[in-house]
Amino acid sequence: MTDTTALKLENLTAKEKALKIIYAVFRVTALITLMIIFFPPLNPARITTEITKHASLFTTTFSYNTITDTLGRSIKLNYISINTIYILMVSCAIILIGVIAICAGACLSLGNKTAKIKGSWFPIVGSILILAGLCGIYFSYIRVKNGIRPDKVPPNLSYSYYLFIAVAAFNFILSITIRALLRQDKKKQPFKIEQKYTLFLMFLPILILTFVFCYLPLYGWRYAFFDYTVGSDLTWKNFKGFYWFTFLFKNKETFNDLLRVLRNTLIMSGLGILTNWLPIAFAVFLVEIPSVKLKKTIQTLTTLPYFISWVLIYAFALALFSTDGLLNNMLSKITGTTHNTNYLQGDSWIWLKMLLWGTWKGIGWSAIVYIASLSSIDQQMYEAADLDGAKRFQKINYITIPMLMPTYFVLLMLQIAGMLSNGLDQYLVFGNAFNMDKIEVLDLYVYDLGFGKNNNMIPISTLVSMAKSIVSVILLFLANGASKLIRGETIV
Amino acid sequence: MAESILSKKRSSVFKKSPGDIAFYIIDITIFVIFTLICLFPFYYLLINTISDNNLVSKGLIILYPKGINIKNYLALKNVSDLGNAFLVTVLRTLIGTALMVLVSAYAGYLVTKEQMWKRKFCYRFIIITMYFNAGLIPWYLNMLMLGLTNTFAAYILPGLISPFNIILVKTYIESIPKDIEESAMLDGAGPMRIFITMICPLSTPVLATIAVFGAVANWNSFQDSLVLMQGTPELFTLQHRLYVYLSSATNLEALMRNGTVSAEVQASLTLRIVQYTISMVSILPILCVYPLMQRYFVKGIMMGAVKG
Amino acid sequence: MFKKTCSIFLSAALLGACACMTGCNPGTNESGGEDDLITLQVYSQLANWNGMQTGFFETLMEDKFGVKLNIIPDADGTFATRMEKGNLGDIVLWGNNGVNYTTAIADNMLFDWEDEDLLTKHGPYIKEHFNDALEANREINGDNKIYGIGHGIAGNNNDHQSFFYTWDVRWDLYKQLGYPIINDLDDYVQLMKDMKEICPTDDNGKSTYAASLWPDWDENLVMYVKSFASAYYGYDEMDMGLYDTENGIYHDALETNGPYLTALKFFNKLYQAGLIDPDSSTQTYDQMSSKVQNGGTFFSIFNYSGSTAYNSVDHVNAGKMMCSLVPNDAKVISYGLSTKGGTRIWSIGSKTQYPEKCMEIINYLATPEGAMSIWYGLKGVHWDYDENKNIKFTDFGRQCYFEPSKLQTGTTWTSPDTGKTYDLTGTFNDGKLQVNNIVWDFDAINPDSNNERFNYQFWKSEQAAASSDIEQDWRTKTGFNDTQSYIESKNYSVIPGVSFGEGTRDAELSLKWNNVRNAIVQLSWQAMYADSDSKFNSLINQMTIQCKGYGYNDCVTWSKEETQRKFGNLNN
Repeated sequence: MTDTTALKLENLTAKEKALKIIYAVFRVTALITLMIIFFPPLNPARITTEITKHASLFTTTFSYNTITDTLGRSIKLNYISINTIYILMVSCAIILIGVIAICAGACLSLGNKTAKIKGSWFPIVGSILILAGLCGIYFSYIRVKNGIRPDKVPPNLSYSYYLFIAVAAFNFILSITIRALLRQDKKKQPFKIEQKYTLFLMFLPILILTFVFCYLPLYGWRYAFFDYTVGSDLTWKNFKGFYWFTFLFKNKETFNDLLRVLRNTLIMSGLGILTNWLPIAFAVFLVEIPSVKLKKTIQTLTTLPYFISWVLIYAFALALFSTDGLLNNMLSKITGTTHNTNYLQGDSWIWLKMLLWGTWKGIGWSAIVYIASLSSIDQQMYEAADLDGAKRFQKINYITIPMLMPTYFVLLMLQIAGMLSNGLDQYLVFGNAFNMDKIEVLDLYVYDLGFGKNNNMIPISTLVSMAKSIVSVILLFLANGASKLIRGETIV
Repeated sequence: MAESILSKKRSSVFKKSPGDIAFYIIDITIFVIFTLICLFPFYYLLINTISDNNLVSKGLIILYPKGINIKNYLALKNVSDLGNAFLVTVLRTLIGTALMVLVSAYAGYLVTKEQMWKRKFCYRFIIITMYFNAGLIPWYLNMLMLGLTNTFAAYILPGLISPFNIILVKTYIESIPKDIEESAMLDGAGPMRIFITMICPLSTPVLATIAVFGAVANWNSFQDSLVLMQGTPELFTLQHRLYVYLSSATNLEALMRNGTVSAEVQASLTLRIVQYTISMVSILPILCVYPLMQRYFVKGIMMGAVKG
Repeated sequence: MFKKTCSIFLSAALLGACACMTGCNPGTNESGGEDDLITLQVYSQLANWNGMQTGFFETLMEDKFGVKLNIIPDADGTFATRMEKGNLGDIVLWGNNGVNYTTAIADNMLFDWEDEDLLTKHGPYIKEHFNDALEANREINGDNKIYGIGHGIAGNNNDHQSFFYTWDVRWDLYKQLGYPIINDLDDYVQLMKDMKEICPTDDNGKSTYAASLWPDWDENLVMYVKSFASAYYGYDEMDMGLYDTENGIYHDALETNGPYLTALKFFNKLYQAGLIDPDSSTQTYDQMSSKVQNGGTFFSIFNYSGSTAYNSVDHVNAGKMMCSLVPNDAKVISYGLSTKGGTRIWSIGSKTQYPEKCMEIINYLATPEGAMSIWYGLKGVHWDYDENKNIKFTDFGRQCYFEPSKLQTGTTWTSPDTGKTYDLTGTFNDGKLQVNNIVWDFDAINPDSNNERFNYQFWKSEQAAASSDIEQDWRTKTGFNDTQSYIESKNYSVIPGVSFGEGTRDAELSLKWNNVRNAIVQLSWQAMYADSDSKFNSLINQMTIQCKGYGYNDCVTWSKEETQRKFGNLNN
């Protein structure tokens, strides 16, 4: 008796183990299926090469304009029928619904048995829909193939079509297997998904949005590995591998340039980090002013410089500091001798000067975050401190500042991770022949490399962008680790 | 009765000492001087836009206006489609900012729930995006792929996810005492209900802050209009239109530089004056709306370390 | 609970779909829908305008062709993104005919003008009159087809453009000094010193200088120095140096005692004498312009930063004026007119739905009337021919030309084609064609006129008596009535107008080029500001060493190859 039950238990465990593995595979497949919807090279619906190579399946579902942008004339002259496009779009929509169904199934698989069973129908239906849509695509492909001018509208059925068939088939097999393996319990449980999973599912749309807008464009980083000029295809012929990585280092002078630029960047960022307590001081001492009206006015007015662009600030700086500017005029009037120095020209103290300009421009704005945080401080703490006889600075030291620390640390860590980015505008306008050595930061250097003017520098600027990003992320994790060691908790 | 005594007692307890007065004087002086320094460039722009253009182009207006007129602002009437661009920008600012605040609050709240499956991964997934930038062309191609070029949605959708704002919201929500949430959960409220009825009202300062950040970013937006809306000039933002207006003033300079035509007499509307006028026009609406949002996050200003 | 989850998913999907649907904006590339007007996308790498064409040109286009023009300029990444998208536009105007142009042709992005008899049927004027330019274009395309036509075309190859560098100087001060003879650069330095002595302050009491420069326009070399060298030696700027077209000698920038360094030394001498505005290395163009307007400078190599800015009514009435004074040893540069056209090409995109319309528009702009409309406005409203076929401004047109912000409201135009009358709107400046390219050269002879040029300065109707004593003084002393004739009588060089496809630099060379260029520009400015001759020499030395380190020699080799390709007569 005990033997058979033991045997049954073992079988169950094996089945459940298998189910677990299959579910894991299934979820990963669903994720991949969702992702390839957005990949232009894997678009099965690109039935003619006249459709832009940057259209993904998602594009061909929704964006009529993108499809017809290059086909306008061909449609007008009837080289391709408008109905073909409509059929194509509908087929793609069907595929998209199928993919959504598969993903819905994957989401529901995070629930309990009932949820899993109910959810197991979705992928089956979804895979069938995908296959149906692919038939529709094939149908429009045939229509294009039979068009009157194949030289103007060349038909095309890429390997991604077959890839999609394979994906759909694989999903179908997985979902059928799951359906077969799932057995309802004797006691039918109510539909439930654990809270930890529901929270995740609620967060999922955010993840998808982030992926679509922030991660997908990274596909453009592949330019850094090819000898790419605008309009050229990325083939194995112009694959350069890591050539560009060593390009900037090869020439001794260029290498020294890079070092110089990095030095400038790190110094400017370092100075910024050393003075990032100023907005806190600003907020804390602003709050100490007795009159509320005065506080509000000051707070509004000190944010003004933030809104003025660097170009205008430079024009203003010229009015102040050029040879016939305000400063020289006043000095001449006071001392009686003519003063004719062009203060904007030299490179003395240029880092400090840039720091001052930057601080003046940003401090009012940066303080806003801290002012808002101040309102989350419990007033009772101050009252308790008063009863203990605490003075003003003690209260600031022991209550206000510690309460602002979390925000400060987060911003500090973010600043450290963003060390290599200083922005462009400030240094572009203030830079001239005499201070360029010290003022040229990495962003300005990359800009100057001629990106935009010089289309064959795209791989290099992509590469520098990529390197900056990787270093920033590494710095972020280092800072995170440091924070854990020092404060006991991480930032991110 | 007892309350008023208490408040009276309080104010008598906190009499101002000479140390306090000295502190106030120094504090106020520093801030007032700094405010004046901040105000001066703005004032400089203003007087240069309302003075006689000939004097301005000779660089003579520095401390006070001369020959006051508002011709420069009236000239904006002739900028083509400025009203349309204004409308587009206002719509964008309202809708985009509102949605962004909603999404940021939603995301920021969810990320504070420690039970969430793979919470750390989710949070880092969002935050890391602040540190990489795929470049202009890949970004454009991505928007093309999503079918968002030449549409109004391109102004709204990418802006929904703002990692920095999500961080701010998360940090703020974490400082709210946990017992409020716990007691609500004991009453059987789900996360969404807690979010809507309790967290949001408590977070108005940080939400107002990110609303201001978002609104300013939307109001000043230029690059996405420039790159994405070429096929539909009616969707240009305000800054883009003003930029076109500015470019037209540089047209003269460019013509001379290219040697395409012989020199023409300098129009009295020089490049610099146009820049100043544009800047004023862009800043003024913000200054008008800003105080409205200010009262939400400035609650902290009204509290603060010392009362009275 | 299950239903709730389902409904959440469905609503999320719906929301997403809605968001994308709001995106769908049908027909952005096609007709605007109103009054059957077609909107053409014009991608112009030369334009400073972004958006729909407005004003009188909009009216002209609507009436004549039933089109609206949407003008798309070249911002960062515009070319790359449009190429990747696969559609450059309906009409495409190129800033140069270099690698981007040839790549576009190789990728089938441009419309073949001989396809479907486009040129014959819709471009008759071009076909008849601009054969040289068409053939020149055919040569650079690489596949024996015609894709476009260049800019600045003239009716014959015998003439040259009007002078651009006019050596403007304060004539009243020159008169005060007794008209000293100016032969070479040293004489000019002395003249400047003398002028400073008799006129130490400007209208507002601030210091005067010989020249006030600006760094905004620096490209491969410091712009002002390079232009000065062109204006003195008559050499053409060519990549990393200057080229003597007559003798076929290339002078690279760092050549000892070469034209660039000599010009730089001239400015350094002026600086050492305290005659260069110290703001020159940091100021913007209009900062400089305001100084000229206040009388802060004595000299300008260009007319627009000299006489045009300074000769206001107030100054002229006070007897002060800037006029042209060319040193006797100088050889002013001018550019030859050519029937082949230049590098700024008019072309049609291959994906356009309306190639016929595009061709007709380019054809119209190639007719004399179309050309005049680009510069001056509408025939009959802004300009006209008189009974002898001489060209003249109308009063209104003259005002508009010299005051481009003048409003056009209140004026009407009757179309010669349709007979309809239109009210004009907007400013004159905004109403001009904003694509910023021309077909006919400004100095070419207008074939519809009585042998007059398109350039108004040469029209009989514009020759006027001297407006003041000081101007009369200049006329008497030089013996000429206008600047162009005066310089014509001096030594000048004519750079042959050749049609030339610009070469490309590969990535390695681009990097070297960028570094060399930065070193030359930055150290040139520092050298200009050197306090002593020894400091100047050491800076030049430093410049040479640094540039050689960056790969200067490769840059010069490439420049010389380009020169040989362009002019064909390089001797060194």
